[in-house]
Amino acid sequence: MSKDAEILEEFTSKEYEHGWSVDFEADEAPKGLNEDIVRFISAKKNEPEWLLAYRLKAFRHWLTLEEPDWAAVNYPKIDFQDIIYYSAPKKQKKLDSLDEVDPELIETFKKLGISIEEQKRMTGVAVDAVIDSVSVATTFKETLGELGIIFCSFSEAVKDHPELIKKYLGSVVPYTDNYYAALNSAVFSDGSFGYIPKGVHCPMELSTYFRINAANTGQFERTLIVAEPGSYVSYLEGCTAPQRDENQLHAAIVEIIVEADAEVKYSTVQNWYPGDKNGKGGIYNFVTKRGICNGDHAKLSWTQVETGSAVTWKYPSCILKGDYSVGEFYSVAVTNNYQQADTGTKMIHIGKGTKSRIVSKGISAGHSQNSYRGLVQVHKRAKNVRNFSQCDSLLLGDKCGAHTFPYIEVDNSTAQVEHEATTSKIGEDQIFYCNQRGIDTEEAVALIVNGYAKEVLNKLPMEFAVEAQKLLALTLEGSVG
Amino acid sequence: MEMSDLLQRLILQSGDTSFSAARGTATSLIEEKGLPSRKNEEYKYTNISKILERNFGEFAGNIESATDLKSLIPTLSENQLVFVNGVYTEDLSNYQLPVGITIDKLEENSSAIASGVDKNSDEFLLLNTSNLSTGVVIKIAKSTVIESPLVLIHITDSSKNQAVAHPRVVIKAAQHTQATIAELFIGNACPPNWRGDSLSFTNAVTEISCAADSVVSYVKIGNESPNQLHVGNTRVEVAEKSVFNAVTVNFGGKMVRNNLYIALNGSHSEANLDGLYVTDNKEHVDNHTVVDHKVPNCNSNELYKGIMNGSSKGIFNGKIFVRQDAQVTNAFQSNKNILLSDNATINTKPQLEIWADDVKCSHGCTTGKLDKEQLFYLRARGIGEHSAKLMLLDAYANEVIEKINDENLRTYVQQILRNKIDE
Repeated sequence: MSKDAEILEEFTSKEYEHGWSVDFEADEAPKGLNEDIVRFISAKKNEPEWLLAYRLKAFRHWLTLEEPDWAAVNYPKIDFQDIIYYSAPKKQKKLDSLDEVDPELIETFKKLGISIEEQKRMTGVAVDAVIDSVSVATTFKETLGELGIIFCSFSEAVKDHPELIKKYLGSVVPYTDNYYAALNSAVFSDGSFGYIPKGVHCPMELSTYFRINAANTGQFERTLIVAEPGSYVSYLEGCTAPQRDENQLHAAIVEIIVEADAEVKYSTVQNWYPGDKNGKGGIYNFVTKRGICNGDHAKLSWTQVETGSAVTWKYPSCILKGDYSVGEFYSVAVTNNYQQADTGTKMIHIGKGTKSRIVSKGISAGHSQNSYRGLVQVHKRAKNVRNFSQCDSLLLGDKCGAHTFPYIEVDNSTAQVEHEATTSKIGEDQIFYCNQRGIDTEEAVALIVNGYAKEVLNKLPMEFAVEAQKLLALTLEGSVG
Repeated sequence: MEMSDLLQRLILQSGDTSFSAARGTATSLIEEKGLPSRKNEEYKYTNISKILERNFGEFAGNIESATDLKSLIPTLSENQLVFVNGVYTEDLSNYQLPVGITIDKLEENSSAIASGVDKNSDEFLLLNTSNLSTGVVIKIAKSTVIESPLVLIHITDSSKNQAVAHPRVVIKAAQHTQATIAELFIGNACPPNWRGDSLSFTNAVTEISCAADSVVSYVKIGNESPNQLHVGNTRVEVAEKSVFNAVTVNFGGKMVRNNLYIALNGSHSEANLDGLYVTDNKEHVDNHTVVDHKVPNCNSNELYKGIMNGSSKGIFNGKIFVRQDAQVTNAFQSNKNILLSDNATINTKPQLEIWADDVKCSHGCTTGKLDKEQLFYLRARGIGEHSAKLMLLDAYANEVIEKINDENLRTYVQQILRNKIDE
């Protein structure tokens, strides 16, 4: 027991490793939110009239909404007038080579272990780095361009491909969807746009690294991915953030459209600042992520590793509209100290023969609360649907909580839906087994947790898996990793 | 806040004065909260208020009961208490009370109602309390072992008029007792030209407390007619080293809602919950259960099974709470559903909320059709499709029914089941 307590003590006292802040000259909007701010953001980004109209519609709708409070999370009420809604690093001129990039930025990436040149040369990952709302460096564009793949920042896409943005923006997550989706639609700063033409197999992993940088800047990212029939793409999203005392709001939207026979794999590693060990500070991560399998035999797969944020509140969802389409959700959520996570997925089965699989692994330590909340819905006409859900929770320490709220709504008798969940701590017999073989308790716990999360970690692309394992190890070092 | 029309109609203004304090509190709370709408997470799938609103135009206060109620009453035990529209009816009852059991009127024992209500109480529990005018208190004295089960039969009689009943039963099992108590809810069959505007509404509350070292089995059988509304709140407090077994069986109704709340207050106690719901046509059965592990070293096992046919709807929401102090808890929950027709629906939500770490908890739930291979196996042996289906359903349901520890009750339930699935 005392050993355990020691280990937990050591683990809970671990400070956030990536806690540093780089001073850019930010081009900021004044604090607060009103129609003028929305117009300011739009003007700053030289947006066309229709996009401004969309933002204003969303803003007016947002005003009519009430802040939702049903999630199993607690946080002080957000003052939406105390947030800076736009902030961009000043250097905005187009860059052709890395030499032109702000050296401080390069340094930032080095600290994160994602140096652009290395990635460019060795891993074949095209990085669209988003620092404080504006895409600064986009690489591998030419290679992708040859295949007809569009991968650029959202604002560029608005300029260069307005017809695509017009067609797909808000088609999966309309601004009326929820409170934070409306907010995002009104004030979104920038984000990424990916378009994979018909029959193209994207040869590399598309990747965006998000960072929240300037103090008091909420990030309102917008990601839109369109996979035309028969195409394939794997998209990576990774996040780390510097240490802050004030809570920062992050309300992003990710929309994915998967056409017939296409496949999109969306992977996230999220490591935002979770607050210190007393629960002070940390990021609020309220994200709306949703994809639609529009055509037959389409496939959408979400994989997420959540280790950061003070409050995480997100449900990456799949609308399985095309017949025989497939939705997948793999998640590892680790919470420590006073972190709270309310996450899960929605699988909406509309087409016949659609299949979905949910694997969610929660690990809670310290005083944290970790909830799985998911929906599996089978519509009346969706014949022969198959779903399997598994959500397991592992508890480390006696002051944390693990909760499971699965909603299963089946309207068709041919559906076969299974759900199972378990909650437990690491078995003493398992530890004993390892101890007996000369593996000390700490290592044994690491071993067990690794095995526990493996099913999900295995689903991550190679480059990410390494980072994810590192993160898991970092978060649980001293206790379980 | 203005009391809604519906509430005004549902809350009786007269009644026994012995409950005025409890009624006053409950009435003001329910006025404040209102009856649950679809927006209430707990009643998301069961919008009973809407049906009440639509159907209970004018609530008839005193209901004359039909004279032939006797023919409705099955003989299940030597000890049967009969309630008609929530009122204990001596001349239909039949019992020789075993030594150690006393039955008192709640009016004369108004302090027996458990701790009462607060703003988190279920709305229908509040509604029942705000209508309190009668009820019974059953006390089982220390070290009493009762062989034959005590059966409470609630008849909601709407043969002449719309009926609203608010039965209230308080059961107190003292230390070292062993007893089986069953509640059967039946309604009189509706006339052949039934228009649906004469529904009845039963809003029952049963409070059970099990003192230390007791073993109490509770069986609730719901077999009201297809156009009756039923809400039942069963609240159970279990003390240390006690075992509480509950079997809840339901055979449909226009809309049925069972709230079963079990608090494990003493360590080394155990709760076993089993449930079966069989629905057809447009019936709607909703089972909400809560097992609240408050102290260490307790176990709970839960198994709920459903069979849905026609365009009926089944709902299951099982909550397991494991409080921070409740270390060394084992809590298992399972929900299985069979959909027999394309229009049947099941919404299920097995829910775990755990604040302790030394626990073993799991839940599982499945939804599907009858297993094709099992059917094939039987048919390959010359058994007709219909009989094969019945055999499989019978076996499926029996996993729950066999938990009823009294043979008469078991046979009675099996009989209803067979009639229901053989339709």
